Amino acid sequence: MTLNARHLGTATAILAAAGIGVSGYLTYTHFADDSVACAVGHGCQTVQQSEYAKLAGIPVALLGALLYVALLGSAATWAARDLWWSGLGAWSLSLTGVGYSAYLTYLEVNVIEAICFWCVTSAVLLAIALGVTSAGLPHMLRDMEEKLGGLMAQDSA
Amino acid sequence: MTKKRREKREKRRRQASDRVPVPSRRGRRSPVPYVVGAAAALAVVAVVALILVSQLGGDEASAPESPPIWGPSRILGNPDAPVKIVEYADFQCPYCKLVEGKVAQLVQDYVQTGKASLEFRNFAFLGDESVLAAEASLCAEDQGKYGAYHAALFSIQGRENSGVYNTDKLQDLAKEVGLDTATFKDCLTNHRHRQEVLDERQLGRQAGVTSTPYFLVNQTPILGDRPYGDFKKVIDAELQRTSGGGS
Repeated sequence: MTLNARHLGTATAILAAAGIGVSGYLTYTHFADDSVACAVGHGCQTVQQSEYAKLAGIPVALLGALLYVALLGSAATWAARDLWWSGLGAWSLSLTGVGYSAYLTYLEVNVIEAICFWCVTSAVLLAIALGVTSAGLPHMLRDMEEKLGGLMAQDSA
Repeated sequence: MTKKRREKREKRRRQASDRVPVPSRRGRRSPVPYVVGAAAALAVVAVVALILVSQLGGDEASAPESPPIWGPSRILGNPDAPVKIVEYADFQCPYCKLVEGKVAQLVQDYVQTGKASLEFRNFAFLGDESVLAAEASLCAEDQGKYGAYHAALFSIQGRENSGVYNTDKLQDLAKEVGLDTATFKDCLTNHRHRQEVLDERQLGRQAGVTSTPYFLVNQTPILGDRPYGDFKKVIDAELQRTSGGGS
């Protein structure tokens, strides 16, 4: 069986939905001033209450939830309609998520000195999403070449 | 000879510049690298922007200076109150500083209403400066100004063992708070409270303290800078238990 946009898009959408669950839970605990259940380790609360848990006053968990919603939208469109730009959008969003998660993980290890299970879960979800969307890149690029090539045809005469 | 070579090189260069660029497939310049490059660049720019904003906001997000919660001594409230809250903390621990706001709320809700007593114990485990700061706070307590000095110590908190709590700075702080500096200096430089601080740390270890802040509500531990609701839940349960037990 060859993997096509439908398979890859669906897989990415499932990962995004899981990410919405994780970031949604962290956003809820933030606003409800509730303690964070930490399945592994005890660092969730420490990380959640650190100064890095907010970005310009906005909880990072909320920003993560928004990123996952955008990822879900683009992945679902990619799966349903095989549009190259939605696939590329999902890839770009995953790349952004992986980059920022890598920075947050660095902070957890070196600055906050506490590991948040939920944050690591989110980072893993995004890394898998990046892998899945990258697997669809060749197909997206071929599609893009076909659809956009004409728009940028150059007169070499 | 060299002139000839130069001319040849010049000719080759001219030929190369006259060459028509070879178009890509079917005479088109592929847009794919541009679009993918733009998508990747967008992602990188977004990450860099997020990191920059997080670093710019870092200072603003730090905890506000703690108001003086404590009074002349490290024990607040009615010692016969049904609930006894003990806080173990280290002046170098950032979360001990952060939790001060919640401690102030506890004082207002439970200590001032006579439902609980609150005691601060030093668990100076983050290095020599933790021990010295704890000693200094006890020297201030000798002069009946524990609360002001405790708040002042947290207000200047910096990186662990970076010289923030050295003898000179602790004396400057004593002056700012209005302590008798000669008495304070004698107390601090002669380490009059060192043994007490070390004993307190040992007692903390025996009580199961491994990190700070650490609270004991009667016998129930609360670890870390927890949401206020967590404190409330445990204290209310203890109040109910003690009143239900007829005490």
